[in-house]
This record gives sequence, structure tokens and C-alpha cells, in this order.
Amino acid sequence: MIPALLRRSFALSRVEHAGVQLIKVAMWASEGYALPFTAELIRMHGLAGFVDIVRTYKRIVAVLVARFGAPDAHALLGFAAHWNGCGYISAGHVFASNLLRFRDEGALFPIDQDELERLSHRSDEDAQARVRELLEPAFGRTLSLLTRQLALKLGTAEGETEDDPYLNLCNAAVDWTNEHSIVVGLDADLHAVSPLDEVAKDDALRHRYEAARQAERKRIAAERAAKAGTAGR
Amino acid sequence: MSEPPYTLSRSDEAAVTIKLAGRLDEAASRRLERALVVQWPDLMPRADRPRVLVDMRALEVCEAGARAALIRAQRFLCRKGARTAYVASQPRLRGLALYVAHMAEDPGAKPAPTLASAQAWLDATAERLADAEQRAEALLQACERNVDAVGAGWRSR
Repeated sequence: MIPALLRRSFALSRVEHAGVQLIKVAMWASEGYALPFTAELIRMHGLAGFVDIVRTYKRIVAVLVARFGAPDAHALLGFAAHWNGCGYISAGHVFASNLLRFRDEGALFPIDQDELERLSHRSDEDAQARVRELLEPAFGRTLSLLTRQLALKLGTAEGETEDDPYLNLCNAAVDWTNEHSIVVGLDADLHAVSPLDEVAKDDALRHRYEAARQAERKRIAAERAAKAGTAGR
Repeated sequence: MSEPPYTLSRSDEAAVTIKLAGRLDEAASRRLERALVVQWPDLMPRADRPRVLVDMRALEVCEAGARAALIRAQRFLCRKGARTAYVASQPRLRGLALYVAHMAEDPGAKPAPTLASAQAWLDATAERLADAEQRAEALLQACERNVDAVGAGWRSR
């Protein structure tokens, strides 16, 4: 991946500062998003190291997409970050997952940025129960992968499955990524995070998705109000 | 009576437990930092590889203003050669622990989701960032070989 890290001074050089700005512009153009922790990556690894890291992360995503399909791959990346407490990477990948699933399957995944925020304040056990409640039965395969992923992270997984190396790769890759992203990820506004995939550039899809998501939120709110009204009688 | 926001105790000759509970604000975190520095010679007089367990499982809220003192405390532990594990069962608190470890630039500190994994970290010698990088690299190579093998299998049909 990259050679052993060298301790770098906290302040970026002028060249590195300029590099940060250029890289962000280039990323917006090519990917549809820029990483707000680009400066931290360059501070720790230099410009060449940054390029190496981005290439490696793309390889990891490609492996996971080949194994699980794009929507589930991004959901797994998002949840790996969620369990680490990095809101930026978590929201970015879950957003990407949701957009891809909406585009490819016409389905609205039940976990959006609002739900991620709520989950982050629950214990692991409560969060896992809530995820199960939200995903069963319509998203059974995704739930099965997320459950196994968490069990591997917690060290409670029993036996072995053929998915384990890929799930462990996902966990390890995000552990490493979050080392850098946590500087922005701890306090990230989940609704301000771009989808961490080229699908971020598809404005028309994003508009359709947001309209569908808003309609779904209104439907859920109306359902809750109706239940509360019934319960109060 | 509610639990104090922190307690500091020696678990054995080479181990200290810092328990955080309830609400940790800036004032309490500064007191914790001072207590750690002042009490350290008595807590760890001879340990050459002290282990510190920061138990966050009873912590409900850590105010943003508390972070600076936590980071300074972690830097102090790093200078003392301590290995630190933060055990937290809430993702947001593990994120806080990672943030503190990162900003303190302490490769020997790490958040953990369970007491068992925290203990495993304390017993190990790997550095946090290097360990994550090496694990990811090894798994990526293995998975890429597997993907290539599966692809070759399909192509040969």
C-alpha cells in the first residue's frame, strides 16, 4: 500500500497547500465530491502518498463491488465507518449505497442520514436490533452481511463463511481510512456529506432520490401521527 | 447520588483504569488531566510498559470542550510509554476515542468495542495506524487474488 509513515510537521508547505486545493478541484470534477480531510492525508503521507492511498481505496471498493454488488458494498463500507464513529465516511457510503440501490432496484433503503444519526447514539446491541427491525424482511441479504460484518468486528463471529475475507477487508480498510477521516468525521453534518461514489455527479438521479426520500419521510411521519392519535384515544 | 464523571484507580502493578461516567464537561476533563499527571508517580512508580484502560461504557455525554484536556492527557500517557485502550459500546464514543488518539498522535492508543478486544490491544505491541494499514493490505492482496481466480474460472468456461 504505502511505505512506513514518516512523521511530518503539522503545517503543510506552500506546495502541499496548493496541492490540496488542486486535488479537491480535480476530485470534484472526476468523482463528484472532494474529501474534506485531504489536508490531513497530505500532512500525514505527502502528495505522492495521498495519490497512492486514493488508488488503493479504489482497489478495495472495486473488490467489494465485485463481491457484493455496488449497493451492498457501499452499505458495508458505510457501516464499518458507523461502528467506528466516523459520521463522514459512514454517511457518504450509505448515501452512495442508497442512490445506487434507488437507481438499480428502484428501492428506498430504510436507513438514511437521519437514521444513521440516531443509531450512532445507541449502544451496539440496540443499534443492531434497530437495524434488524428496519431491514427485515425486505433487505435480508444486506442485513445478513451487516450482521456478519459486525460480529467479525466484535470478535463474536462463529464459524467461517466465504464472505469473511471480504468483510474483514472492509472493516480493516475503513479502520485505516477513519484514522484520517475522524478529524472531520466526529462532528460531520451527515446531511452535508456527498455520496462517496461517482454517482454523486448524477444530479437528475439525486433530485429523484431526494423527492422519493422526502415523500417517504412524510409518509412515515403521518403514520406515526396516526398511531399516536389512535393511542391517545 | 450519580457517579462522578471520572475515577482513577490502579488495577495492578502495571495497569490503571480510568472510568468515565455520566456527563464529562470541560472542567471535569481538566481535573482528570491534572489528577492523572499528579497521581501518575504513585499509580505507576516502576512500570516500564504501563497499560491504561479508559472505560467509557457508563459515559453518556462528552462535551466538545472536554476534548482538549483528554488529548493532553493522552499525550502525557504517550510520553510515559503507556498503551491505552478505550472501551466503549457506543459508536459515537469510539469515534471520540479515535479522535483523541489521533490528535494526541499516540500510536499506542485505540478504541475497542468490547472489554476483551480492549484487553487484547493492551497485551499487543502493534501500532494502531500501522496495524490497520498492514491488515488492510494483506486482506486486499488475498481478496484480489481470489477475485482474479474466480474471474479466470469464469473466463475458462
